[in-house]
Amino acid sequence: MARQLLEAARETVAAIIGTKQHETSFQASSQHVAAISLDGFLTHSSHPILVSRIERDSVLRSVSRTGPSVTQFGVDSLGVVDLDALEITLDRVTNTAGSGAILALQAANGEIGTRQPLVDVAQLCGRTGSALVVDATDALGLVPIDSGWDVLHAQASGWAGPRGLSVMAIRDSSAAKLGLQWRDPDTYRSRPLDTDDVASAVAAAAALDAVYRDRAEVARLAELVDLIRDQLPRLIPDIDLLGDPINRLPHIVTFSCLYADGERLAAELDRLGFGVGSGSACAARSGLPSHVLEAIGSLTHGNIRLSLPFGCTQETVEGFLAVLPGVVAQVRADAGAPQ
Amino acid sequence: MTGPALVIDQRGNHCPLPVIALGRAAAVHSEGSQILLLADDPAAPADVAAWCRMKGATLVAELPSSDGLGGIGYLVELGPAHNAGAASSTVGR
Repeated sequence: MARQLLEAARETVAAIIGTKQHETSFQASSQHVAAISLDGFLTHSSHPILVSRIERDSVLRSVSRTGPSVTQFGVDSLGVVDLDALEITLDRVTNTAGSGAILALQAANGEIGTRQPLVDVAQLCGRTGSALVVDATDALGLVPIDSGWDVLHAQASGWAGPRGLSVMAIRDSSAAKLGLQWRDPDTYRSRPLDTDDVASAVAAAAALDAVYRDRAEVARLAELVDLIRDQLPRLIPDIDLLGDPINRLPHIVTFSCLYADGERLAAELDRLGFGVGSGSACAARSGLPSHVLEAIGSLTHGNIRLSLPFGCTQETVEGFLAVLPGVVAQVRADAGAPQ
Repeated sequence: MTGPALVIDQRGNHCPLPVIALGRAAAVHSEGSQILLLADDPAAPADVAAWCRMKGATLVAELPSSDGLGGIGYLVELGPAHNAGAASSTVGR
């Protein structure tokens, strides 16, 4: 019974990812999956690795633990990969190494919503014999993901699935691409073992399916985000609206308010019933600014990130836009900001 | 200008205070004035550069402070639009 449930969940996820069932697996640890998706290729290889500056922390951490040389590549002020610079870097490292590279890139950034031109990046990888490892955590189910990847991994928390569960897909054709076998560094298998946690796998598949099926709701949220992006610069002076205005996730809006303390903004909005996030240095336990905000050259303080949940109403959005100018003005005034 | 008109020491203060101090100083100085902001906040490199972009100012130099007390000195030259208080911007390509 458990096996049948797992197979049904796999069928659902594989269909949405656009891959074969046997290429898809469920992994228990979301921290671990980023690591094994890279380590599986890298453990016994000397392939150079390239990673974008705005990957999630778990990806950057797993990359930094690997042996071969790691090269980071940058993004422009919208958070989009600089393709010209990437091409030069990819040519350089593959020529030096005399082999293809492994390139880690997210489908979309969950902090600022920007989607990456995966079609173009996959072409660059194909031309240089490199493997593309895509982190689809914040995009899967919500937006189409180009099929040019070799490995795709995603945390189920990205689509409101269970925490601590990830899906992972490895193309049959990709292991041979770099002339080496993909091996799970823990089990030494050419396919990672599925998690024992069948209930979480089934829940992750059901949650992903629910998001994927509700095209109308995704489109409605995208319109609400358009409304917010249109209104914010009119309502708030000295604001930095972040991320790509067009090629973006449908439900994320992020902005930074000059002279405002992001932690205080988030606390005040929370008090008024609006749960928001902040990537500001002042809101982080480390006291360090978000590496994503740094990479795009944004203000790193006064940062607010909205993630509109399914069912978010226009009234809620209008209510937020009604209180925000007053909250920002008060937080700025309290800190002694110039008028 | 041959030297900075004003030195603001914000070492020990964290974001957004160094940039607020820079904004307050900019509000009472004219185009072409230079301000030297001293700061050791880890967010300052990104925030000072973003402030200059939003306020039409130029980050002329970014150098370790010379007084042995640590931190970075950000030499900023004010542009024509620096005190247009209601200006908004969108990060663009």
